[in-house]
Amino acid sequence: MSALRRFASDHEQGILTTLAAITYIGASFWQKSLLNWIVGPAWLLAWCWGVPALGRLVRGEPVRPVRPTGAPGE
Amino acid sequence: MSWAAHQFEIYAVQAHLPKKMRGKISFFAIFFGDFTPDFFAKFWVYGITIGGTHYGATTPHLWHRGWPGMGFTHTLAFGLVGTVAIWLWRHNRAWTIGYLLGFTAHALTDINDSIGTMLVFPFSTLNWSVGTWAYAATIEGGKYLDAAAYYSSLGFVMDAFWLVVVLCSWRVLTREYWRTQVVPGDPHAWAWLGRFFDERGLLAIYRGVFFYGVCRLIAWTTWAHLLVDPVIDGVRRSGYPWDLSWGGPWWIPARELPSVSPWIVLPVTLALLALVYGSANRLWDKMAPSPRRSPEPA
Repeated sequence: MSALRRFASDHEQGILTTLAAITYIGASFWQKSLLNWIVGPAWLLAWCWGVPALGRLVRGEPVRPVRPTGAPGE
Repeated sequence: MSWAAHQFEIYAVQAHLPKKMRGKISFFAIFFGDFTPDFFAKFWVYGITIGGTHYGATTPHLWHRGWPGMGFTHTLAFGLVGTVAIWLWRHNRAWTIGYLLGFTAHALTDINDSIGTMLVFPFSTLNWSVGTWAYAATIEGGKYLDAAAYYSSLGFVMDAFWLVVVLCSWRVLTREYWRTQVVPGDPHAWAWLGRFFDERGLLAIYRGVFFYGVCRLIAWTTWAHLLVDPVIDGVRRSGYPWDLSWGGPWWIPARELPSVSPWIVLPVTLALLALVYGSANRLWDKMAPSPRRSPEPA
């Protein structure tokens, strides 16, 4: 179990990207209008950022990036 | 028209920037440049049907690439207007040159279908096409038949070619490349996005168009060849037939517009590509920020 967890942790982005692709392609068979410039990139964002963010939200951790004052974006 | 090729070529352009521009061109500008022609012209090509009434172009191929129509949005002249406008607005060479390169990639790639683009508009409204595959957007067939024709012809090969080009430059998709070459080219935009997303999110935004291209290629190809049973010439078939011959597929009439001889299209296109590339190279130095201008990102 711990080996599985370690693998999932090490390859989190690859796993999420693969899942995003499978679900997106699968959903597009059902609804072709999903295949567009907006939904496609948003789908990847939802899986690769949204899913981990949801996990953080459930654990009560901050979702938005926490940066030290003066860092880019502040 | 090209489909996923337009998604892949953005990364191909990014990966093959001239040495002096690496890490200094805005990826978003390349994207918007590549996106501009179809943003203005594509929606009305297929149109929409509401309550049984179709709203859209009466002659889709003329609207998309011809004159009169929105064909001027696929011309280098239009790209030049956009490029000059960005320069006058922002005085930012990362955006100006990035937009020019992205736009050029789109306009030149589209010479491959049977319609092509008005390459030397406004000096001539003749279209320039090498007719590699059939342009198949019609009111009756809509997006579905267009996709089926494209992904049964050399259009599929075109998408696959651009995908291979990107995969051969696979580093362009890595976190390291994004950190060292993409973010420095447009630090303000990435920093602004960084207020909302962590690095995973920013990387997903960067890779999103590539992801969309790959999924689009797989989804439409699978649909066209495995999931539908079209009737062609009165015969029900299991999937749309492949036809990788020049100008295919045979089962749909290729749309055409008055055009120049296809024999001069490729050399002129390559010459224009070299001209844009050379001009961008020369302008890059001249556009370097002067002390009087607001400094551009390092």
